[in-house]
Amino acid sequence: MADFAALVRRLVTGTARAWWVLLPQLMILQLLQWLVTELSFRFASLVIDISGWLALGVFGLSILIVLAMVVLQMRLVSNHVGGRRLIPADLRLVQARVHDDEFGRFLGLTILPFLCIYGAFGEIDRRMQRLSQESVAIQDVLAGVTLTQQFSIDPLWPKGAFLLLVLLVLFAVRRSLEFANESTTFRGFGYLAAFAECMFMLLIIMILRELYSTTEMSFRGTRMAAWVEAVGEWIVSHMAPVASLIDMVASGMTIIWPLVSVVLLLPALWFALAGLVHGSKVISLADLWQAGVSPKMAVRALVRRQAPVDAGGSRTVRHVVLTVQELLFGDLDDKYIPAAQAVRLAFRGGALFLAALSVLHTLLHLLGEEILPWLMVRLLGGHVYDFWFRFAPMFVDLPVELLIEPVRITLLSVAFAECLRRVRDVSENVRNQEATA
Amino acid sequence: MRMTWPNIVVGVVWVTLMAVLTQVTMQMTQPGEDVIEVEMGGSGRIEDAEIKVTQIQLTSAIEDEMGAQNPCGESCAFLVATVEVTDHGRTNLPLTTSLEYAGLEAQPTSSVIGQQAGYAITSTVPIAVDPSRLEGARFSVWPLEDLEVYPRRVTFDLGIDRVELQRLAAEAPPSIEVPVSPTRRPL
Repeated sequence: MADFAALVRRLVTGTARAWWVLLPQLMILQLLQWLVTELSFRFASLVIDISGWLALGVFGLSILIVLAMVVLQMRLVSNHVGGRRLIPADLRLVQARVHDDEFGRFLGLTILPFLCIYGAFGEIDRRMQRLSQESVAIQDVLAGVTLTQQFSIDPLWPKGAFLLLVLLVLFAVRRSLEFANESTTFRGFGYLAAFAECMFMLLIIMILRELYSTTEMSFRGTRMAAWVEAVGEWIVSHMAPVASLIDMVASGMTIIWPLVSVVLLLPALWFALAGLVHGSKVISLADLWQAGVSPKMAVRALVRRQAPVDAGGSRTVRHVVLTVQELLFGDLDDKYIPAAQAVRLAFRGGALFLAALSVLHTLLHLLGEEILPWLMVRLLGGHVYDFWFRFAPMFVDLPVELLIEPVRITLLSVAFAECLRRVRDVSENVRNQEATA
Repeated sequence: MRMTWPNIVVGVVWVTLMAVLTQVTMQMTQPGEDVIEVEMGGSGRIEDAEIKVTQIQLTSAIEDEMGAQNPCGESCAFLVATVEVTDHGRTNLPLTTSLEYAGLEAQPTSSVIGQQAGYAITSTVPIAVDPSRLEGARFSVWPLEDLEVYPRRVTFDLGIDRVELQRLAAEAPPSIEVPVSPTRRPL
């Protein structure tokens, strides 16, 4: 218990100090984030009737800029609290060589957990809903077109096939841009690749949502649905205790799952994002440290892993195979595995660390998402929806975001630096034990 | 750093506490309504509209402009509220009404009352009630909207106690005319 209190105290004081020192920069970035979000809503709602693709582009760009502001804030805090200094110099050289320390690449790396957070916790839905409301309000047409309507996927030819084709093209464009970024000095390719990644992911989220609802609707009324229902009825009539147990578990899950996701999953995903802004190599390093590999060996392993592969055999054939493999599955190594490793790091940082992160993050989440908006709304008094639509972004969202978001982002960066320090200590202990032996 | 049992227990306890706190906070911060309590004779505002209940009456039947009678039936009466909405601004909101009495919520035959920017509009709102249980009845007016964040509701305490109820019953006319359109007076 004393360890837990000490850990919480360390995170709180570290966060408070960093937040206070970096307050002006953090506030400016947060303000920019809010401004970009609001402007993009206005602009996207103006163009949504003209072209759904253009609106989706604006929507995707705004999400990317929001992420850029978050990443910038995290980098700022990380530099201040010494998270960067924990990365060994050898690894920093490797990162520079493979462009793992570029801003565009951080965006590409972090877009996956960021959109996971946005998708899983309803932020994308909220933004889409707001976009359609803006569209109705600005253009004053009740039959305003929404993004969901524009992209509702028809599993049948030709719309579904067209969207799949768009996905394939986006994938190819993104991978080409990533290659171009790695092989040239023009950094713009990195940003364009991140934008293509964002559009790719957004489109996938929208297609999955649409497919889910279409499948669910078409499943109802089918013979299969009737069979499932008949099995359910048979269980209720013949195995009452089993039926009540299933009912109890199902109703328990509907209460418990949202809580678990807010208290554990949300901090873990944000923590992963805070880790990924240091580059994928740092996550791998932390993973090796955590596994008890000594600091020097861990860096060596990562440097070696980065060395060009020469497996012999026919060079041309081998080169082609490797290039195709990199083109198709490079994403796994570059983005998805680091994201999964980063989430795992939060869960493997120790029970006390995870609990401390959960407690502090949940408190800030509740303040920012529930308590302060509730208080601000009460302070402004009861009004019609039109009032909230016009003024809530300025008088509710902005003050709450300015107050809470920088603190939350600071906490996440401080927590990542603390976790990195703790896994490095594990690794140092291994080295000391080896030296003693 | 290692997952030891005491650490796991402490961690689980704290995470569970946070889950409980999250649940309680989410329950406590439900949007709700901004209820403005007004005594009979007073007025309450929703945006630019000033709302006032100018009169309440009891009757056993209401009649339309053509004179057709609509009786309430046995042990039933119409509580007829006269509501004046003065709109000093530019908002054009459909307002709706209801009556709470004896733990019930009764809706008028036509719950939407007139409101128009730049006018004082008087509407007659008949609500079928059990006249013996009207003590402490409250009449509410609020905007009729599809989407809400934190709406305002003006609730009038109609001041009906036993004496007032007897007075209303004694002075009840056999029928009251309820015009289809409310009366309008430009401001």
